[in-house]
Amino acid sequence: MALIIPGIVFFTSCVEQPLEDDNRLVGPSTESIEDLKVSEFFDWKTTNEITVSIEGLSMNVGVDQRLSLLTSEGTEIFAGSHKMHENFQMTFDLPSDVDVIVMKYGAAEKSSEINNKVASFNFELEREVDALNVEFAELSTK
Amino acid sequence: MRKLLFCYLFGLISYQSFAKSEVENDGELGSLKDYYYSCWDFYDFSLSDEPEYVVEGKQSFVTKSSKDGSRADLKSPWLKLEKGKIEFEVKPTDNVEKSIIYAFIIPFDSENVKNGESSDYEYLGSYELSIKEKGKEKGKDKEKADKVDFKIPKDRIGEMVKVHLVFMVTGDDGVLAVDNLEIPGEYSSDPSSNCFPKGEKKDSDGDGVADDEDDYPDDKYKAYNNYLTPKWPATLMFEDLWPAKGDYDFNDLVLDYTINRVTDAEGEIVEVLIDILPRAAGAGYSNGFGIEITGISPNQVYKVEGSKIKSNTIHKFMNNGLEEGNEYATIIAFDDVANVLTHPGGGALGINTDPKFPMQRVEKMRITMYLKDAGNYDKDAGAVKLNEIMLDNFNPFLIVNQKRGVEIHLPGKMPTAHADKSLFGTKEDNSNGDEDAFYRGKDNGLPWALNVTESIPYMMNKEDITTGFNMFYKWAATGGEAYPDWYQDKKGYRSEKVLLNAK
Repeated sequence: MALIIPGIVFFTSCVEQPLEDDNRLVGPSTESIEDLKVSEFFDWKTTNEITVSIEGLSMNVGVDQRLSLLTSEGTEIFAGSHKMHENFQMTFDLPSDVDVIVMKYGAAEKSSEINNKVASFNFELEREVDALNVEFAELSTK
Repeated sequence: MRKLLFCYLFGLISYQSFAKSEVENDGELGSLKDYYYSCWDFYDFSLSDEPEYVVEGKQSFVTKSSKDGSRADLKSPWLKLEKGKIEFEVKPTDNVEKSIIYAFIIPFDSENVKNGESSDYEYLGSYELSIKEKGKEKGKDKEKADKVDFKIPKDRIGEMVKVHLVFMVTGDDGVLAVDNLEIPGEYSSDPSSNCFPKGEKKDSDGDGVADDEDDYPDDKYKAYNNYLTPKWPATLMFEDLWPAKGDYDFNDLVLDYTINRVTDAEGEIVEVLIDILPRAAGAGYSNGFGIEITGISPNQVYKVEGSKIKSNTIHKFMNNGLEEGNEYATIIAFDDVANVLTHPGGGALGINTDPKFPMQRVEKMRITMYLKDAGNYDKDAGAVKLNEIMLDNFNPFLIVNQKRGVEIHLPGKMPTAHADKSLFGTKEDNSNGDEDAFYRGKDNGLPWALNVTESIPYMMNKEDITTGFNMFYKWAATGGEAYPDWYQDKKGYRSEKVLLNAK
């Protein structure tokens, strides 16, 4: 019995509390604006600066059409004509909860997670390809 | 240099003058993967830079032969065939005993939704390499490649096709190299659409952007919407006692805004649409509101429309509607909050900030800043690219109680040329001339203005912001590390009883 009780106490104390129930973190604030001191370097922004880069194809395929960049919620953050063989890079100020960028180009759609404030894409698009070694009838004539 | 992937040649052919296109492949891209993503297909081919195999340049396509005979295939992207011959060079090693090359044309079949290839192909013929002669002169002709060609049938000219070449190679441990493939025709595959042929797209306004990709299909001067505020709209909130300490209810002026930079086919900004929804003014002052577009010269602006300015305004304006005397384009959206919001009277503490009084009607206004006029712009000042007007270039400010020199900006933003510099560093203001130090509190680092990326409620009069947004304190105290989503409507984040939400 002496071993069981400390065990129960130990396991009970390790139960993780949901964030919403932890008043120390999210309960009504008791902090006063009068006590608030803020770093002189704080930028007060509610957005993050995110760079989106796209690597163009090695070959000029003559495709120039609408490039759209969107958040995962479908909000468009960029639209413009883009040549498929050219690289693209642009910086955007996005809400801090945006963690995925979606690229739409023609029928192609790709998504990229934002890592270290960068979302990277390329135009390497997989496609349905038949086996090339088709049995042409003419191949057996010689 | 001959080593081009594909190019468009223009010249005189015979007695007629017409443009001649050619799809070329010389293996110089570096990897088969690069060709695959550009709609070429290979089977049992690789790229080699071994000098003994290379026909020309740094690399050639190679396939290995076997004693019993092996097969390799090469298939072009879709192309519109033109008059001429399919040409390429091949070079076998000494071990190759026999090699026959077959050429086929695969027409396009729109019924085949998988890859568009018709099963009704056309056989163009075959070519057998003269291996025996090479064998006799072993060691002498090694560097010389055979030139192979297949004539394009007249009735195929102008058709959308693929060219399929099959290489049958026999010989123990030999190698056949292929290079400098040239097919008369125009490259017509679209790698963004499963390599199907590029479709003809309707372009009603002729701006080069297809109708279904154009946000303005009937306006040749406009093509795309580019919103600067990705969560539509954002909220700006001001305190107006600067440089003195405020009460931090951030409701002396509250407005929502969206900014849309409309670009043309070249990606240059044609106009900037700024939609403003004045929501509340918890002030006794007759404040105005302006926006500096930092980095954009007043000369780059053709015209500004939509400002609400009273007749006895304190501002002076240029012919284009911008405020006079500023380094950068500065719009006075309204010079007095009374132009855009109506006070309820009866001793209310401000407009839409006193819960004891009914909410006043709010109305959206649109400011349009034109940067191009029918495609024209000031050549000396230059066209404005999209990345020249980002959120960092958006510098909104409050003009306090009809005193033009008293401006309140977001923390770290620069004042305009009209700001009264004698006020900086006085009372609670910590502005010391350093760019990032403007409009920050001397003792507590607190700002006089906030810009929130989405539309949020605002504080009732005399309630400081920490009482309505429970995570604001932690966000600010940790320099933005904790609760970067403090403004969102999440459980425990807001105290609704001190918040108002006119919109």
